[in-house]
Amino acid sequence: MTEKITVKLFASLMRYLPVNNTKSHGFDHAIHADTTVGQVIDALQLPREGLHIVLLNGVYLEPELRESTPLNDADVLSFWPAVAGG
Amino acid sequence: MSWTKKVLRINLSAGTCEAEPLNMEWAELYLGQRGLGTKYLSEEVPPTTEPLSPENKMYLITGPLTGTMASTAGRYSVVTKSPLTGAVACSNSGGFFGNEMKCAGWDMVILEGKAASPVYISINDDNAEILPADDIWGKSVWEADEWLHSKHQDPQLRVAAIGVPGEKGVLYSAIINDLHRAAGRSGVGTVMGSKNVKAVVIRGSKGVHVDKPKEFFEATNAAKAILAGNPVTAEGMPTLGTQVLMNVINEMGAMPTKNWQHSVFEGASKVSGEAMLEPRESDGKANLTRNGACFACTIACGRISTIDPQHFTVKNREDLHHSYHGNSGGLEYEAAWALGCDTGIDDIDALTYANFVCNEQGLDPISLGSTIAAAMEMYEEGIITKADTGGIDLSFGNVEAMVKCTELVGAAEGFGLELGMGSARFCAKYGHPELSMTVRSQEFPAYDPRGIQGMGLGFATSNRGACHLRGYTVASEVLGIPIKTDPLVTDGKAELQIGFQDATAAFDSAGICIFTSFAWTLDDVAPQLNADSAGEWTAERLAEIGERVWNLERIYNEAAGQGAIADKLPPRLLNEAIKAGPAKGKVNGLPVMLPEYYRARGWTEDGVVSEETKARLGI
Ligand code: SF4
Repeated sequence: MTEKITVKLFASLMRYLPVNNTKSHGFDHAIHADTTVGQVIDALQLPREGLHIVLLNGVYLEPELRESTPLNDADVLSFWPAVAGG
Repeated sequence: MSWTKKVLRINLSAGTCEAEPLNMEWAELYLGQRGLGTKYLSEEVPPTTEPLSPENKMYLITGPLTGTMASTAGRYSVVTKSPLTGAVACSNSGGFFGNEMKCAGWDMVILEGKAASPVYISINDDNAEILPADDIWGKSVWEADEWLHSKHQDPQLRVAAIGVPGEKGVLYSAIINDLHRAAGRSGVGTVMGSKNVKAVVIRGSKGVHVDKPKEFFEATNAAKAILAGNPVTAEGMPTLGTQVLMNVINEMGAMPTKNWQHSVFEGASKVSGEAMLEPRESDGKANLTRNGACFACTIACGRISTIDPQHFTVKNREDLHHSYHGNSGGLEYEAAWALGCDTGIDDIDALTYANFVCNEQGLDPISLGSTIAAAMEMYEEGIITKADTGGIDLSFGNVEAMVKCTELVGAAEGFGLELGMGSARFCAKYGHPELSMTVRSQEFPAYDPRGIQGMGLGFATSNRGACHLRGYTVASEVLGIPIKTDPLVTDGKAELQIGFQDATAAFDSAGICIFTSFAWTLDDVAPQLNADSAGEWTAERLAEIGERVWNLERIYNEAAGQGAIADKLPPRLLNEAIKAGPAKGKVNGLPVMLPEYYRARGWTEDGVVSEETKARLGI
């Protein structure tokens, strides 16, 4: 069965948004039962060295867990480059 | 030698302006700016002084790097006793005012006493005068700025001024320099108003001298290369400014919403840094026109924005200052949060307008937005009614109501004077102090410490009342700078917070911007100071200075009745769990962290600075 997650790209990673996605940060992405975060990164051709903050359903995903963590239907996966403010 | 070693002491009661030497023994121990200003305050102003009395003093003070070519070296601080908190106040500002003071030959300008009628201070190198300000008393900062520039016939004149709220006792009035840079927090502008001082204007032509010019050139260039090579300071901050945080904090479920009843705001992305880049329908322009930089800054995080000309706040409003119809200082994250998420408003033009009002009239947008949000909760709960608000429907999300309240506080009129007390006094007046989201009567910034545990400890122990700029563990807990820690646990947060607090105090005393610390450590600051100022400056010595500054502030606060007794968070953060999102079910673990913090600080278990710690730090 095909499932889908929401991927969100922020800050300079917005340049990797699908072309028709100009107004929002999020878009649907189809996955299979055993798709991992690493596979989504590959499928979207995101630059690994530029993925500084990765949140899975709002919770920080440690770099060493990113490749192997499996995704579930309706998960929200958000990406930022290195950012800061105050 | 980058201290000028000269202080300008202005006694407003006596009408005198006198030069005196800077106390260099103290400078060795407290560096400059925040540290040295606090040392002067603690020696000259008894902690029990009434903040709005002539006995309080104000220290406008630079650091040893201010005015040099070190990156971000335009900073100055205003140190005084705060009328909002009753604790030590130290508000730091960029722009071009601090460097001008240094170029005029002064490390510090002290304002003491009270003028008999409205005045402004004019400083032109060695010449200082107290001049009448009757023509600009009652005017906004922007109007005063224009008048002063025209009167002095000098486009290079640097102006720091207060607006109407500062004259009329609004307790979170700011001092604005260069039109939209603020010594923003704790009501330092209110103290200036209480002295009948409208503005300080400075023109300096002396330049700044460093100890070892060649070394200094090399050290500052090396440090600039670090900023240019770091993705945060080279790309993130110039592109999106502090507003890049809006989506990060919201997605992780730590976005204080509707007076901290919720921790996720649906409209956050509409008022985010990314949203500021989107073209709008009316004229095809984005909210953000360009970024901007303070003196000598190679980061340039500043926002220059416009309001949609079709928006109700500015359309057909001939009465407004012309800047509302053009470019001016745009939204920072804290302002967008307080005026927006905390009040439930996602209208980016209304927020930009309210932010312009804060700049024009000299208001702290964090305290203003938070006080409006607390009033909104009280209105929705029926604690206050339209009879109290002057007929305003203060429901969460009511854009017109937020705009009206902002204008009323800006004019210091009607219900605006009530809101001008700040949230702690406002909520207490109506019998619900628990609804005020404050520490030491100062409003929180935009991070829910139930979802970012270390910030709860930081807010509770912050010497100037709740603040993000005293120990920004968000950098570690959320952003992974310098290392990532888990925001939902309390383990290790006491030490983490102390490390941030002490390093920040050192940065704040040096004359540079705290945002450099996203890329620099004290190891990068030390070589710049070494070449700038005679003496041996190491990272260890700077960290110790930071610790000394922190402890001195604490000792002052203890004697002012703002020590351990005020290390508290509102009950909402300790007892009401986050309702939804990634941090669901969490409260802040302050009761666990605070004893660890006192121990690690070398204080007594009651939170009092111990005699051993004082002796170790030479206080
Ligand atoms: S980083 Fe931003 S606030 Fe700091 S000095 Fe530069 S422009 Fe000013």
